[in-house]
Amino acid sequence: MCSVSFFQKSDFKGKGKAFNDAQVQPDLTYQYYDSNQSEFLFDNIDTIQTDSNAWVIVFDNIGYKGNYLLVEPNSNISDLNKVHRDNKGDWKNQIKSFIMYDVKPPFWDAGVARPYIDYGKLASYYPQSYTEKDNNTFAYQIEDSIYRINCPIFSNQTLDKVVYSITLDHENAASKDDHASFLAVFDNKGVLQDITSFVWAKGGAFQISDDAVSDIEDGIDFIADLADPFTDGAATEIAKQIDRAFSISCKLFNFASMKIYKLTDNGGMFYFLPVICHTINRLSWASSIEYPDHIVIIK
Amino acid sequence: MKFDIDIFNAKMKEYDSEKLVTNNWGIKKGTNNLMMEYTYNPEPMNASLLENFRTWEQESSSPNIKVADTETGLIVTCKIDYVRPDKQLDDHIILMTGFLPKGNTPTLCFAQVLVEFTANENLNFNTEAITNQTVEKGSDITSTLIKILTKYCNLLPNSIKSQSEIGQMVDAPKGWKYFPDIVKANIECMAESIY
Repeated sequence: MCSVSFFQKSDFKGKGKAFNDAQVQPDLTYQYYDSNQSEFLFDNIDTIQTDSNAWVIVFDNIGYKGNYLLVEPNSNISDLNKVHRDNKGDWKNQIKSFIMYDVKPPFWDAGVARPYIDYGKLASYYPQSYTEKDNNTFAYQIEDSIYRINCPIFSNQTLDKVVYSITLDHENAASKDDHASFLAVFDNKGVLQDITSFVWAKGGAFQISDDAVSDIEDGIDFIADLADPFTDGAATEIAKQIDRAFSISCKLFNFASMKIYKLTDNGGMFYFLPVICHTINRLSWASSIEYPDHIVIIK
Repeated sequence: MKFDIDIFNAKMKEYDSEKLVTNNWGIKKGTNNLMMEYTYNPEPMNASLLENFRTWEQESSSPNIKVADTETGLIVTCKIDYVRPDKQLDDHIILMTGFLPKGNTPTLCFAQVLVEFTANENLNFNTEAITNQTVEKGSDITSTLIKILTKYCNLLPNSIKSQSEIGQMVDAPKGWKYFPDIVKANIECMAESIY
């Protein structure tokens, strides 16, 4: 059980609204102070109070975007007008969405609102990568083609997951570029859990079903006896992780190659598949819940 | 684990060197990336059987694959070109392999191949990921993959015959039947280039 209370005015005055239990509220346009729905909470909060079990993150945009403020348990913020909001003034009447946890999330002590992708670190994992387009894209040459990886974009957050949208391009001088996009799902520790909504676009786009990619427990099995030498008693769990690490890439490769079966090109489009597979691995290393120091945080 | 392209070049030069004649890493005109050209001839005394291939510099997972917060697994991928004598665009082989440490020895744990025929895309072909769990008893990953490729490449002439009847292609370039040998050489040399 955890609880947060919001009030319209400073010093816990005006109308108030309490929320109990861990929850997400992506848009306070749909939350009201009173039962006749005359006044909503959206941009209408000046006081926050939390109990001893509530870790609350408030945002100045809907969908947990924009600037954020971490509100510790047992907080009594009596006047948000006095709380600094980056370079945009204060927090009075700015809150548009919030998340409340009933246990301290693993990323909390880093002062971030969620696991983040260190874009600089991600770029460094690609051989001789270079930035393009106002630093929002980097590219690298591999084999005989150029591939671009766009800055991951925060997509959604739940109590136990955070989702980033990933887009990649293969520069195709002979025709339009090829595009691939997918959602990378991380847990609150920043560990990659899943790849969903995979789309490949070459002329007409096709989408790989989420079941095909995410159903990692079945089908491919890499465990064999390879896990034993280094598992030291934790064989089953480690073996599952090995299976997961490789099988997502393999399934992507397999399903996507089936789809491009009847296409032809200079080879660069086909090598796009390994590029995507390497990207999935590199994303898993570029996610972080460490204190950000000289890095680019994707808000 | 790390993949060393110089070791790979050395291993390719040592590999069945009468049949497979390998150059050093070089730059292909119009590109910036390393590639290695080589010829393959199953009967070195018969010059008419010689065909040209090219392996582009491999990309290996960097960092290694994340398992239990350690860098444990390695994925190595590459593109192999078949430089066709009929002036068609190259055919391509995309190779994806995964390695895990068995003791101190990097060990192949999966291999997967995609073959692209630029002049006849209806022939394009891809294998499943071959793993220790899917190989036949007494066999191994590389042998199983090569067996599948060989079976497919042996069927190509019949496929081409079928295609020729509708006027799309007359002859199968003879280098197609070398694909299993080329893939086998690449995988085995890749496996020996990891430390």
